[in-house]
Amino acid sequence: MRVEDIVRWILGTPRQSWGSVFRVLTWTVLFVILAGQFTPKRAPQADDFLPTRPGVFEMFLKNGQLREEPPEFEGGEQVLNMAWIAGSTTFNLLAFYDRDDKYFLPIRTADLLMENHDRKVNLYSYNQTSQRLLDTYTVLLEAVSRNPDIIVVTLNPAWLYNSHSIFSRQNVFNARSDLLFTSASWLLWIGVTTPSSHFFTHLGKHVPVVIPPKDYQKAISRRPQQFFGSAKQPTKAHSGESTVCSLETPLCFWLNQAASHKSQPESHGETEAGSTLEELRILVNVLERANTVPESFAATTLQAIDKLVAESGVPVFFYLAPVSPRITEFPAAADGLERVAIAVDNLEQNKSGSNMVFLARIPQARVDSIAFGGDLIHVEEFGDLDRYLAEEINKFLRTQQ
Amino acid sequence: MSDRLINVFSTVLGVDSADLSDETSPENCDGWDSLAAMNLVAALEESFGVHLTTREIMKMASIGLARATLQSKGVDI
Amino acid sequence: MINYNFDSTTFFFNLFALSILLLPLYALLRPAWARRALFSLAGAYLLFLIAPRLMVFYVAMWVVVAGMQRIIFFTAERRFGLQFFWAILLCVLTPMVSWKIFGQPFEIQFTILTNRVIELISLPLWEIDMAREVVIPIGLSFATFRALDLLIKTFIGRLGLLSFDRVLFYGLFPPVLMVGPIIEYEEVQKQSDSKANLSAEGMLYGLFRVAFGLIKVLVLAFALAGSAAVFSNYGESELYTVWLGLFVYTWFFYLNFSGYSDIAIGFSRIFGFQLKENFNNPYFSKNIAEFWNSWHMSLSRFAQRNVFVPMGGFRSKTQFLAIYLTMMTIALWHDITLAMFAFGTYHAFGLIVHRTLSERKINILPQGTAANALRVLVTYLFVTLSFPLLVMPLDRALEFYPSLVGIGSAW
Repeated sequence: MRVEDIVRWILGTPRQSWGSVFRVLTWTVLFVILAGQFTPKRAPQADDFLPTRPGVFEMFLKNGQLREEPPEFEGGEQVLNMAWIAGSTTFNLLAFYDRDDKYFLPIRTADLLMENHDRKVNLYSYNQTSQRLLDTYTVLLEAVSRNPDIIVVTLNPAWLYNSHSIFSRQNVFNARSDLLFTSASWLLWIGVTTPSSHFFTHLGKHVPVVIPPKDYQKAISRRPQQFFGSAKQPTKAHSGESTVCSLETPLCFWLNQAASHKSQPESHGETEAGSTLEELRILVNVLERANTVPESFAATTLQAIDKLVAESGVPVFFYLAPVSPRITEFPAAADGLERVAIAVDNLEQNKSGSNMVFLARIPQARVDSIAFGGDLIHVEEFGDLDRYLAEEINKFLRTQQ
Repeated sequence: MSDRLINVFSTVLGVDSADLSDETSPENCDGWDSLAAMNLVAALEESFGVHLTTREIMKMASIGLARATLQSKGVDI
Repeated sequence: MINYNFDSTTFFFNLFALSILLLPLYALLRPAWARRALFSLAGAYLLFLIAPRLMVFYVAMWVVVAGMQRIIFFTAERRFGLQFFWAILLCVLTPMVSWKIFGQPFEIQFTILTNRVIELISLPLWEIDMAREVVIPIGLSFATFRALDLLIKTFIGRLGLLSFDRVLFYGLFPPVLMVGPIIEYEEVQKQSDSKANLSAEGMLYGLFRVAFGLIKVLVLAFALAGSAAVFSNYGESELYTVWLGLFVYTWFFYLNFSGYSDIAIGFSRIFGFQLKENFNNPYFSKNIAEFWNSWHMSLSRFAQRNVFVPMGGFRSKTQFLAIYLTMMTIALWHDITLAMFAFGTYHAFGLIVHRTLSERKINILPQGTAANALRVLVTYLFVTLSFPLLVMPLDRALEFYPSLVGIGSAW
C-alpha cells in the first residue's frame, strides 16, 4: 500500500469540499486545545548557578529561557526594585566552580544600596553568560515592561560593538519573539527571529503541549540510546579546538578561518589554563574588530534601546564593564576598546531621555583595585567596584526623583 | 485510436492498443520499463526504417513525443 | 553529504509557519507572474533563515542558470552548440563536484567567499550571516541536479525558452530546497503558468501528507535514530545486535528520508502543485531494478533520463555500460569517496545480473506468493548489505563487514 493510498483511505471516498477542510482544521484545533488542558505545564526550573539570598530572583530558567511567570515586583515606598541585566563580567567566573566565595556583583551592590537607602532592595537578576547585545535588548524589553524602580545594564566591551557574533544563543529571542515583535527596529525583528519561532511562541504560550522545535531538538540530542550503545562522538575536524571555542562555534569559525590574527596572545607565555588562553585569544580578537559604524547591528540595537528607555520612563543605568590595564599589551585590542568607550560616550551625549545614563569609563583608581583573570575581561576579585557602582547608582537615582 | 505507431508500442509493451494514447509515458504505463524501452527503440527503428540519435531518444518521453520526433524525421504517421 | 539533520525540520517548521501567510496571499494574487514572484521570495527568505550567504548564492546561481538556459536555447542547433553545452554543464557541476571531492576545505572556502560577497552588499546582513550556525552549502546537490536537468532538457529541445522569473521560481521553489525531491521543471510548470489551483481536495491531501511525513520523521525515525550507533559500536556488540542495528538503521534511513519527501510533496500539494512521488515502498521490491525504481525515485529518474539514455542504455550493445554509469552517478551524487564507488559498483552488479536474467526470461524462483515473499527478502537483504558503504568510509566499512559474521565482535 502506498502512502497515497493510505491517505486516500483515511480521507474516505466522498468528494472533499471546503467544508471538510474546515471540519478537519476545527477538530485539529479543538484537539490541540483539549490536549493542552490535560497536559501539565512544564514546571519552570530556575537557574541556580549564581549565589542568591532572600529578595533575589533569578529571571532565567535552567534551559536558558526567561521565566514566563516571574514573581510580581513588590510595590511601596520602602522597597527598591532593581533589575540587573548582565553577563559573565559580574561574577568571578574563572574559578567559579572551585571556590567557596562565589562573588556576585549585583547582590553586593544591592546590599550596599540597602545600607545607603534604608529601604529593602529586591534584585531581579537577568544574568546570562556570553550575553550579546541582542540578548540584552530582548531582556531589556521584558524588564522594562515590569516597570521596576531601576534597571542596571552591564555592557561587555568585547561583545558590545562586535560584528562577528551578534547573538550566540537564539533561545531568548526565539522563545520570546513576541518581545521583539514590538521592537522599534524591523531589522532586529526580521533579521533574527524566524516564522516558526513566532508561531510556536504564541501557540506554546496558550497550549503548553506544544514544544518549540528548538526544545524538541534538545530532547532528541539528550535521548538515551541504550540498546545499541550510545554512539561515539566523531572526532573534531579542527584540531586544537578547546571547549571554550566550541561553545561559540560560529564565532570561532570566523576568527579562525576568515580572519588572519593580528596579534598572537599565545606568545605571552603565561601559565594560565588552556581555556583561559583560548578565551583571551577570542576576546582580544573580538575587541580588535570592534565595529562602531552607525549602520552596524550594534548601533541599530543601541538606538532601539535608547528609544525604548526614553519612551518607558524607567530609569536605566548602563555601564561598560572594566577591562584589565594589561590590555595595552595588545595594542590593536586597546584601540578597539578605546573606540568602544568613545562610542558609549557618544551614546551618553546623544541620549534622548534624562532617565538613562551611559557610563563609559570607570576611574583608574577603582579599576586598579580589581584583580582581573588571565583573559583581561573576567574578574577574580572585584575590589571596590561594588562600592563605586552603588555610589554612582545612588547619584543617578537622586536625579530621578 | 489505432495507427502504426500505437501498434508498435502495443506489441512491444504487451498492452492493449485501446489503452495507449499520445499521453502514455513510462510514468503511467507499467510495462514501459527500461528493458521495454530498449526493445521499443529497436522496434521503432526497424518498423519505420530510421536511425534514432541519442538526442532523439532522450526526447521521447511519451508516445506523443515519439510521434513528433518521428514526424520530424519525415515519417508519415 | 546530504544533511539529514534537524536543520531540515527547522526548515519545514519555518515553511509551515510561513505558509499561514503565504497561502491567502497566493490565493489572492491574480497574475501568474506575481505568484511566481511570491514563491521565489518565499524560497529566498527561507534560505536567508538558514544563512543569508546561501540566499545570495542560490539567487545568483539561478540567475546564471537562466542566462545559460538562454544561451543553450539559441546555440543548441548551431555550430559549436554542443561545445557550448558541455562547457556550461561543467560550470554548473563544478561547485558540487569540488565539494564532494574536497569536502571540508571547500565548505570553508565557500562560506568565506560567499560571506565576503555579503559584506559588500550590506553590513547588517553580513553580521546576521556570521551568527548563523551552518557552514555548509546545504541543498547544493539538489539544486545542481535540478539546474542540470533544466539545461539538458533545453538542449534536446524538450523545453522552450524560459523567462528569468520562471527559472528563479523553479530554482527557489520552497518545499524542495533542503531535501529534495529533485523536481523536473514540468512538475511545476503548469501551475506556475495558470491561475492558482487551490482545491479542498489538494488542501486536505496535502495536510494529511505533511502530517504523515512529520509522524515518519519526528516519531518513527526519531525512535529508531539510536541504531546509527551500530556503525561505531559494532566491535563491542553481540552478533544479533549488529544485524538488528543494521536492519533498524535501514528503516530509520528510509522513514527519515521519505518522511521529508512526504512533507515536501504535501506542502506542494496544499498550494496545488502535484509533484511526482519520491518513494514507493522500496523495501518491498521483488528485485533490485524495482528497488531503484522506487527508492529516491526523483534521483533515479534524473539518472535514467540524463545518464542511462544518452550513454546508450537503449542499445543492447551498450546497455551494461549505461547501467554502470547510471549507478555511479547516483552513488557519487551522495559523495565522491571510495565507499560510494564500491556502493555504485555493488548495485550496478546487482542490476546487470538482474537485467541479464530478465532479458533471457530466466526465473530462478517459480511464481506465487511464497516465492514473491522470498524475492522481497533477498532484495531487501541485498540492499541492507550496501548500507555500511553509504554511511562509513571504505576502510571502516571493510572493518564492519566481518563483524556481521562474528569476526571481530565481542562474543
